[in-house]
Amino acid sequence: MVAIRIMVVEDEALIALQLTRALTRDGFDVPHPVAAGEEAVVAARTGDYDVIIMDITLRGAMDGIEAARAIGAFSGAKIIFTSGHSDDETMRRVRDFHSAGFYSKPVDIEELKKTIRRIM
Amino acid sequence: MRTSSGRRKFGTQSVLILMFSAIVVVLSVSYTVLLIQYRTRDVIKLADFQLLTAAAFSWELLGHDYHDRINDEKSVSNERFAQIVARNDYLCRIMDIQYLWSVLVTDGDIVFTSGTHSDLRDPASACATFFENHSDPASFAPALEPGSGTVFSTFDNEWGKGRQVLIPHQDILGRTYIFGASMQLTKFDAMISRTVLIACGVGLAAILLAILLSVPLSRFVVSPIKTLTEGANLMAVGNFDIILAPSRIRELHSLSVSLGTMRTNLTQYMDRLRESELRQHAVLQRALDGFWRVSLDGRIIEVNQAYCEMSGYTEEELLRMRIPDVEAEESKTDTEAHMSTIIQRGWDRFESRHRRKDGSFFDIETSVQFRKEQGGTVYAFLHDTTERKLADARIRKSLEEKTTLLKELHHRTKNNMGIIMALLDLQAEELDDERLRAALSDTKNRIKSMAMVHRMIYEANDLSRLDLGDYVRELVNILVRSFERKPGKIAIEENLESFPVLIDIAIPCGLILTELVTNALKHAFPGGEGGRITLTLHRANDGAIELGIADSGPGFVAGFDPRRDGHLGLQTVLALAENQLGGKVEISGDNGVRWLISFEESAFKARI
Repeated sequence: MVAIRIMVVEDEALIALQLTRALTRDGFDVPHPVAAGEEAVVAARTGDYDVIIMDITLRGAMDGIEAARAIGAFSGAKIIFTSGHSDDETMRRVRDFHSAGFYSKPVDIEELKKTIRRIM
Repeated sequence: MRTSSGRRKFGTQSVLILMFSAIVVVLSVSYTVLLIQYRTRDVIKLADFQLLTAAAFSWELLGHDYHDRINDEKSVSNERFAQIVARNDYLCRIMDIQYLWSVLVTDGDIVFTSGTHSDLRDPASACATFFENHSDPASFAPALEPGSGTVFSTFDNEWGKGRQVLIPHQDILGRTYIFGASMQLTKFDAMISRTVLIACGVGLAAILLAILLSVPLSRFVVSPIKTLTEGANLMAVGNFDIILAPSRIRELHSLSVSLGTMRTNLTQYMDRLRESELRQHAVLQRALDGFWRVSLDGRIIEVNQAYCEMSGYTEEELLRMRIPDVEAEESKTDTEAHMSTIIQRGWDRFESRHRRKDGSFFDIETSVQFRKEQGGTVYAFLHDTTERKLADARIRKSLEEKTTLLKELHHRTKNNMGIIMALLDLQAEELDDERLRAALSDTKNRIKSMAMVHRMIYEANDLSRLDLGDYVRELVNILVRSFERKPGKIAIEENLESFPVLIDIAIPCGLILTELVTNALKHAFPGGEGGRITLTLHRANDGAIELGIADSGPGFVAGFDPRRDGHLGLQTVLALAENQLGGKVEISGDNGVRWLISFEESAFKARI
């Protein structure tokens, strides 16, 4: 069976490392995480990902939702957003995108794993 | 100072003389006309009496059967006729009438049966003319009317007006015979002329008397009244600088004294009023707030210096303006409607914005009152709130910045706790010792409970409080989910009230719950058979909070005393409950473990 390929987009390196290791340990294929929206778009063009765990607040000009829109134009990868911000405006933008899920930080990794398995 | 001048006195006197004279002239003329009328009537009555007496006397003298015996015109002899004429002449003379006669009417013809010889006053010509005139039967027509009695009539001839009487009778043959007498009324002219002369004399005397009376009347009555009236009129328009001269007439003097007292009182009252107005004006002019007095059509009729400085207009410019000329928020129609509301309600207080002369704007808080006196006026006090509004905006902005900063602080704290949790996770992966990994996991859960408080604070509008019921519910669910091997094995019963608490209460409560729920999950349900955790949260009216947690497990092992035998986790719970929250802890270990922690909310004060 081919492992589910996941891209972690997270500008907090330790959080990214925690997610990457936790998901890898559970058998998911998680290559090196990216920290900026622009990098995520480039990686998505070449990486053929099934799921993208996308932090909304990222370094660089492009935030997670904008990066997800750009990726959605050419990729069928499922997007799961994470964010430390859960204000009304952020939540409205997330709802408008029709993502596969949203997790407020700190992310409950066990719940995240369940969601990934459910949508795939 | 105003007094009655000599010219004015003369004028009053002249008017009085003219007025009295006119009245006297009118009265005199009327009296004369009436007198002439009455005199003329008396003259006619006198004449009629004389004529009637003469004619009747003539009939008596001739005898009632005189005409019965006249069968034709020749039946009276010339001699007899001459005697009759002579006697009639005599009668005319003594009774002072002109003619006396009798006629017999036969077949429409007139036959004189008696007469006078001549006109006593004009014997040469009158007789012939008279009889010629009276030969006409038409001149006797009034006396020939059927049923006619004595007829008096007036006639005109070359000597003037005359009066005659006709007394018709019937003789035994059924013929009509008429006794008549006439006289010239001109004989009374002299008497009427005398009457007119007397009337004119009386009139002239009355005019002279009126002139003589008008002088003292004018000097002692009319002029003083006029002076007093002028004085009262001057006082009515606010001029009290008048002289009230004494009068010789007691009533006028009393009136003058009363007016003088009134003037004194009014002068004092006006002085006080003027002083009050000056003080009020000075206060209004020196006031820091603007002041307007506005007519009902919106015209500014009074303005103080403060508003001039606010608006940049001079007082003269503002007094030529209306409210819409400076009002920047309301349209002209709005202002008119607003004015109607103020008039109806009597007062108002509102905020608005005015336009300065240089085109810039300033904010105004206006307090207005409507007074209906003098046709209605609106008084407005205008407070420039521009600086206050700017200060308010600065404070609001500063508060927003601080709120944002505080939220960001909670956000950063929560994120940093997330990073710490990640580090603990990563560290746990490196450990082979299950006890150490469990210890790190417990620590991670403790940090998670604190991170959740910061997240909920960050998400809420209140930066110092969060809903304890919601927090307990969410925290316990996360803890249970993270421990459950098989979902649904652990049932959670909740009886949680919702109420906000300070972060100083929420964090110890979160740590206590984390320890006790973790303990229950680890020890209450051995073998994975599942069970029930019961949570209660209640706040009494006096602010006492009770937090309860119980499990359906077997309870403490025999002889276990959590205060004595409990490890770090339970010691932490007791320390937080009793020392940090200042509460009491009740523990029961039979038929499941049950913790009841109660503490006073009032022991904690908000820090922000």
